Amino acid sequence: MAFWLVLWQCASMLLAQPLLLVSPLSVLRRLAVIWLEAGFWQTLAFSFFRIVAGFLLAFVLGVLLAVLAGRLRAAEVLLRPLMATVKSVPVASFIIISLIWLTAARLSIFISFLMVLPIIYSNVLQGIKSTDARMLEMAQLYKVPWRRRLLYIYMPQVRPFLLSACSVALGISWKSGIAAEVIGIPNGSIGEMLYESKVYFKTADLFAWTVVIILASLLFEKLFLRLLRAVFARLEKI
Amino acid sequence: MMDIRVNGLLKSFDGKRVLDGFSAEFPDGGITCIMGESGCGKTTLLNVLMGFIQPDGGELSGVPERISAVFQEDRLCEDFSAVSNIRLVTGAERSRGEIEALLRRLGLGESMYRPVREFSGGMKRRVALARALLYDSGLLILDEAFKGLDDASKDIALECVREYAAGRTVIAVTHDAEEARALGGKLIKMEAAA
Repeated sequence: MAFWLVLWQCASMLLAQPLLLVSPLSVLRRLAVIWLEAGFWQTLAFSFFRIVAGFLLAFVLGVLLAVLAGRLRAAEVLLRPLMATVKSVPVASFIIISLIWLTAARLSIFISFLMVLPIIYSNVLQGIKSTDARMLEMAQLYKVPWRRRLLYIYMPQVRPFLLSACSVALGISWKSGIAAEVIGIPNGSIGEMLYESKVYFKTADLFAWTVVIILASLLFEKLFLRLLRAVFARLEKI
Repeated sequence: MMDIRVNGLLKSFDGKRVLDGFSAEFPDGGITCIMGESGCGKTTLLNVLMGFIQPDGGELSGVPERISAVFQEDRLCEDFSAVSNIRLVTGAERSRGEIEALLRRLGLGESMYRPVREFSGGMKRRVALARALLYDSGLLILDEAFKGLDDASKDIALECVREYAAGRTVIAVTHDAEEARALGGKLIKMEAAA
């Protein structure tokens, strides 16, 4: 990490055009004051809660749909083209189409939801399908109730798939959510800040807000995954 | 309760006949040992009895609703302890004390709360056996249940089977004539389908 920061600093000094490539020291200086500015926390909260809401909605619906598809083949067949379409259509197309239907303020919720849903769905479904058929036979023979089967036979199998899906999806929810804000430019969002940085050539601001996005994304990822692991550990106790 | 009867059982896999009109009677509340060469259809017969596969033909009667089994593989939840694996199937039917008592008797007293992934093959086998014995069933199926156990552990396991399975119908598949003798009861020798 230190190597790349030094390289960045050297490149910006050599180029000597802060408008094109701002130095990491300038970004750091900007970061030191940006959080003290009026509206910083409101801006962060605006984007954070919307993107997280989109992620959580997709998490819940993705798990429910995967459980349904795992039990009903017809549901899997029905959902397959839908999920494949969401996966392959460029996020920019979705953002522009969604702008016709939704207000700019709600756009990031929908876009992060849409990008996360197929990731959670396909991973959980894969986890359900990879459940050991012999363990299911054992549960069938011993007439293990459905709730216990779900908690103690399916869940340990699905857990690694869900954790890795969340790890990927959390990053994507932030990337797509912020992209939606940059295109939709809702008032008081991080996307608006990034857009203004571009319009007014405030390169240090652009980098500083990007660092803020990375930190918020990482912090939420760590918190969410820790919480999810704790929930799994609690549920799997007999 | 009534005897379990299979009559003219037929089963083929990919055109290869595994059971070719197999018939037998398993006395209610008694022990029946099945011996035979590998591939003669012993496990297929057990799978039919457990309802995992449908026979191509023949009749089956008297199979109780509740069945417990020690499968050829242990089929345990690797991340769970021995006690949790048993509680998974017994629920509240058996107290923790009853489960611990049998596990202790089977020589797992020190390790019954450790994840079974840390267990040796013989220890896992004993957990699978304890699970089958503690589940309240009318039919107990033992598919090479004592495989991998040393002589001392096998003797204790056989003693536990005789005690816990008293009054239940037991069908045990084994390759070991000594084991079949120790279990007692009826002996059926299966032959591979022609």
